[in-house]
Amino acid sequence: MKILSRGLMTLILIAGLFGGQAVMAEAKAPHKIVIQVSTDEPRTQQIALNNAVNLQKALGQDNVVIEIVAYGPGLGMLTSTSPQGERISSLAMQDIQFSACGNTMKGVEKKTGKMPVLLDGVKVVEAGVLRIMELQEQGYAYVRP
Amino acid sequence: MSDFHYSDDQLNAFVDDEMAANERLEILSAAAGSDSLRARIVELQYLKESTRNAFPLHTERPTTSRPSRGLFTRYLAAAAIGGLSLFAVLASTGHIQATREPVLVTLNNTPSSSQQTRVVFHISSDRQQDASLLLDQVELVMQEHQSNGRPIRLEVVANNQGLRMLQQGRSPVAERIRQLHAVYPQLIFAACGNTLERMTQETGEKIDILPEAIIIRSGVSYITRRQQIGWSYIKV
Repeated sequence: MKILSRGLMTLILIAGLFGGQAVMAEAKAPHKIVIQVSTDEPRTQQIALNNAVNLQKALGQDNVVIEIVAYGPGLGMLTSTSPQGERISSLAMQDIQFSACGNTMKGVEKKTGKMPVLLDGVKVVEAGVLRIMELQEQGYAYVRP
Repeated sequence: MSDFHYSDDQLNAFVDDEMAANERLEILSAAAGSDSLRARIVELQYLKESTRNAFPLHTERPTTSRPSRGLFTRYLAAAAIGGLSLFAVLASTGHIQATREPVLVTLNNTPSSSQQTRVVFHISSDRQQDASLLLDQVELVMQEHQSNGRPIRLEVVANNQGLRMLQQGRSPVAERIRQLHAVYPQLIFAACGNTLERMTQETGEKIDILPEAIIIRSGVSYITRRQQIGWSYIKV
């Protein structure tokens, strides 16, 4: 029992040493944030964009990685008919990444016969929801306005 | 509803086998009659086991008192500990760059965090389009993982008005949940017990939950715990 607890203490010691290093390394790395847009409400979409801009301002453009992922009814925000179109294209040039759900796009095409046209600077991902899961696994913080 | 009387602390003590025999018996008999209590106990047990697996040294269970070891073993252990400490110091000061990485890999290499996708979905509205979108997403994620042979644990937690999605006779998507559950039996649908209790009190109606779903105590704290142990989270 004594030996076991000593071994445990050593483990804790080692974990502590490495843990400290990991924290230090983490502090240097930029903040990573994924913002989900899955609604067609213009107000929520606007808030999502405001969140991104404000985060960039607060943390500094070089210290934060922001990706906005739109899927389902939220896809409209990233298409040519979006009321936010101009703002989005300009934000895309300021290091905010926009990702459109390829799966939703296929669904729209099936329904309407026409593939939606994306705004300049918007990337297509296989599926929005999978992208958001993947980013969280990479340590992105999740924001859903 | 009896399981609302048991706190997480009590259930933790139960799982850790730290309870008096009569207390233990009481919880066992309550669990026999309550799906939600059983679900909570299994969840705690799972948490405990997965935490233990994350740190291989903990897996030695000190169940029976070991036969006393010889002096030699003790010296060996002391030497090993000394060596490890030295190693730790050297590694942390950067003297053993090359060997540091493999150590980290063994420490972090738990199956649950490196291979298995774990995601909890959350719904709190009773709009049918939200429920449908949620199930679309769930199906997509399950299909994608199954077709690529990637293991996944996926859970859906419903609270507040979202509880309606899991209410018998009221859910607009009951049939779809039944089908999904038949195709993917490992899929978990969980209804928030707090919401259930509150709704029952407020409306006076008897709310039955779909047979495919389980009842958990608190949706929010369940989701929080999931996120704390590294699950992804999607709010619909």
